[in-house]
Amino acid sequence: MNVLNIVFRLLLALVVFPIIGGLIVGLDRKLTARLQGRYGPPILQPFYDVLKLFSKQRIIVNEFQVISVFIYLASSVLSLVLFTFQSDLLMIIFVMSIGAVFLVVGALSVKSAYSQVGAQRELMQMLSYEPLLILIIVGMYLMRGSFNIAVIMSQGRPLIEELPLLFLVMVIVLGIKMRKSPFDLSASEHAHQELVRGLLTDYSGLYLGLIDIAHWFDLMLLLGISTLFFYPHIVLGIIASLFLVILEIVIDNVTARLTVKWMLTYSYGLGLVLAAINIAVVYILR
Amino acid sequence: MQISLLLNVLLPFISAVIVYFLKNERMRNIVIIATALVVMASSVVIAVYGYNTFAGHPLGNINLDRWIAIGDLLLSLYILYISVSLKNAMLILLTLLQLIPMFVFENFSGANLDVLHPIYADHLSVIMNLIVSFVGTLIWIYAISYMREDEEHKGIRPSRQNRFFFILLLFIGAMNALIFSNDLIWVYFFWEITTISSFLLIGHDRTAEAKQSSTRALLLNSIGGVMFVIGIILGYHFFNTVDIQTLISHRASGMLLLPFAFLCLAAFTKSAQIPFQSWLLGAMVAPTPVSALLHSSTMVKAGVYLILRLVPAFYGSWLAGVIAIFGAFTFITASLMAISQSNGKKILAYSTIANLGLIISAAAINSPVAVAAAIMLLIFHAISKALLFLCVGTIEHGIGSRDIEDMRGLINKMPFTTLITVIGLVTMLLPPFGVLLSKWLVIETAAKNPLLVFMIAIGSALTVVYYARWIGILLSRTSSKDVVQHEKRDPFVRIPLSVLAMLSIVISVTVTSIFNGLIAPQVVEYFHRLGVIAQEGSIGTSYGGFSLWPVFLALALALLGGYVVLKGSNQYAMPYAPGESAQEYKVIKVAGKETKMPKAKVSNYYFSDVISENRLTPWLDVAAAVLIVAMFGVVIL
Repeated sequence: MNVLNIVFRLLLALVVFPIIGGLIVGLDRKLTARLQGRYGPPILQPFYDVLKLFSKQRIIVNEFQVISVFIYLASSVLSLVLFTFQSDLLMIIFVMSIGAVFLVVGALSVKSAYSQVGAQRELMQMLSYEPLLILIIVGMYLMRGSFNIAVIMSQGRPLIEELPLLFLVMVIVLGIKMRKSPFDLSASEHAHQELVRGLLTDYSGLYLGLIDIAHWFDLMLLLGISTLFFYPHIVLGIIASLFLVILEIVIDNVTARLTVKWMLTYSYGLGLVLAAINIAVVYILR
Repeated sequence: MQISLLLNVLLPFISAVIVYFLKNERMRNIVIIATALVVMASSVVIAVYGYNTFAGHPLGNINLDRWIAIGDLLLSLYILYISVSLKNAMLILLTLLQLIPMFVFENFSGANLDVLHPIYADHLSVIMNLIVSFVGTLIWIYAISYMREDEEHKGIRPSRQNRFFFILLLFIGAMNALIFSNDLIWVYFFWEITTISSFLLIGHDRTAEAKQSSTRALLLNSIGGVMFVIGIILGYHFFNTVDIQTLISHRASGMLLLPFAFLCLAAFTKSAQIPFQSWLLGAMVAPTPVSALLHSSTMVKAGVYLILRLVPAFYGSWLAGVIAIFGAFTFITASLMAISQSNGKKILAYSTIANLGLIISAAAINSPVAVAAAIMLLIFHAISKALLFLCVGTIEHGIGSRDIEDMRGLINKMPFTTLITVIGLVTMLLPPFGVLLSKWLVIETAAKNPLLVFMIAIGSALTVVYYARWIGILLSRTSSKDVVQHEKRDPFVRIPLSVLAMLSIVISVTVTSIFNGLIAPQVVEYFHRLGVIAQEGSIGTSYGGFSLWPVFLALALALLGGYVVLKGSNQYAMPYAPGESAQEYKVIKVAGKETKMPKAKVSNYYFSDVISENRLTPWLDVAAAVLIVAMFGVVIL
């Protein structure tokens, strides 16, 4: 791998992808506003928000919040970098989980009932999506014989042909990971709910801004994985991923938040069954 | 070489006897610490110089076989005496079922029980020996001050510490002896010593609960003892030897696997796998050093060690297939149970059971890579788990509770212990630390078997829940209000905790050297191939790879970033808590009626209505029993 190549990949992971992630979030807000009969903010609003947050006074409750935010950001950035360098998919998921755990730790370290409940619920969100994400990757491994993205991408026909159900599982994962309704249990965009902003209640200024940025990285990683289903038809994959995002936004607006137990039942009941059927079929046919 | 082996194995026995008769506490501590240092040093010497160099009989002409046979007989008679005095008919029956067949087998069957090399050291023995010698002896040192405080707390007079340390030292000696034995009868003898030691240690406090738990431990481990005896006799019947290396060199199949199935079952009881888990859960009534010892370096690790020893014998068979499922089943169910617990020691206990299940499962996945992962997990788990138990013991002495709900904001009260606990929890839970690295390797290798990977994936997700929330609870703090108290700790507590915490990080950083130096040679010896390349901070297989440096680098950058920002100006605020002041009103009016203000309480999700230990355990036991029946089924049919 020559220097130019490395720079190119780093540029993708560190600059291009997060900007696209921010734009998608902007699109989300615009679309949501239109669905609710509002005009909505400009597409660039997430960037304005972050810039404004950065300039605000720094207020914290304790030191562990700061450490947690930085670890969250670092792990999200690293997992996307590893993705553009086509590393091991399972390793990428494990690296992402470091950040997810610390986001929870940071919220739990604050003695506010809102942060605490949000953190507890976030743990349940993780419990819901993590096994599904691992199974999606196992499905890809069973098809390609490797966890390395480079190898997964090296072979001819798109994965979606044989893993259609796992792609549906991806819809569930994305919904939970992005905390979109009906899975907006731990923190939601709408502050007028009983949890205030749950997990994020006690973060403000710079730290909230960094969390927003880390979120863009996470979003792009998941969309990257969903694009993998369509490789080598990258354009088709991008269109499908965008469609996935729009689908999530629509679901977000037509459903109401539900309880933790319901989420676990749904993700395990539906998600695991879909994954099991797909993997069993692949396993038996090979 | 012989001398370091003798020191490593025999010195703990000798020191144990000395300690028993030493009433002077200071002298006793000196003997314990000196023994600890010698055991550690000798294990390093063995690790550096001593592979396969212990050929022949170590003590020249003395016939050790005879002595071990006599010792075994005396030990069995002692257990029989205990069983009779406990008036437990089941226990008496189980003891006789070991005593009589073993006696007949050794004396009247005319079997030729000579083993050419009764002592054997390969990399697996060395790895186990290092774990036992370091972790075990650090626990001794910790126990010195812990037991002093403990007896003060409980008002035990006259001191019974000499008895306690006698067994504690004996325990480590027996473990090391077991590790280097190549004669199945010797292994059985030391196996029984660990059983009786754990019985005596669990019952040390002499309370009704301690008595009940220790009896249960003895009972369940006696079942394992019977299985072990059957395994030995059947093994001799099929292969005409009790030499482990010869036994496993036969690539047996079909009925010939039966002795190994029995030995694995014995290992399951020792490693507290479901349905034999109850003895380990009950064992937490014992003083904390005992729990730490049982869970990390001795006792339960003897079980997985035996399985790792026997892997070549059943590699690739149907038996292995069922054992892999059995282990994964224990992993997922024990992890589920851990979620429902708020008792810190019980969470750790279930996590131990789960991790041992994962080790057993990985050992039986039928891939050299998975066996390597199993050995890795064995090492990393031992260190982090010992650390965590010692931390919980220290916390319990500090705040008088082992409930994690009571540990909220512990960072303010016990900053040193809390930080060490957080290190222990992080090294158990997150990459790039060893436990998770091993798990990653297991999942990737298990992925060929969808049923296995299903169970392991869900089990890992459950693990995240109960450890992550524990970390968060410990660190809860309002900086503008809470003052960090100065924590005074005895050096006998401080040193073992710091050393173990440092070890848990250092071995994760140097994982590739440990892998190449100790684990890889063992796997190659077993299977003549490896399938893993460990170099330059990355572990790679033909189907994936994990690079450690980027992760360590990212974590370091994050800590640096956090530090820099914290150095800058930050305003410390109170947590956002609207509505919480309503707590000050005792009585409120709801719809015109005066009602008591309900108390707001935040706690973890335990799902006690769904995951009820009492209700679920019988079903899990039945399911596990079915798997055990299946294990024998695939061998016999």
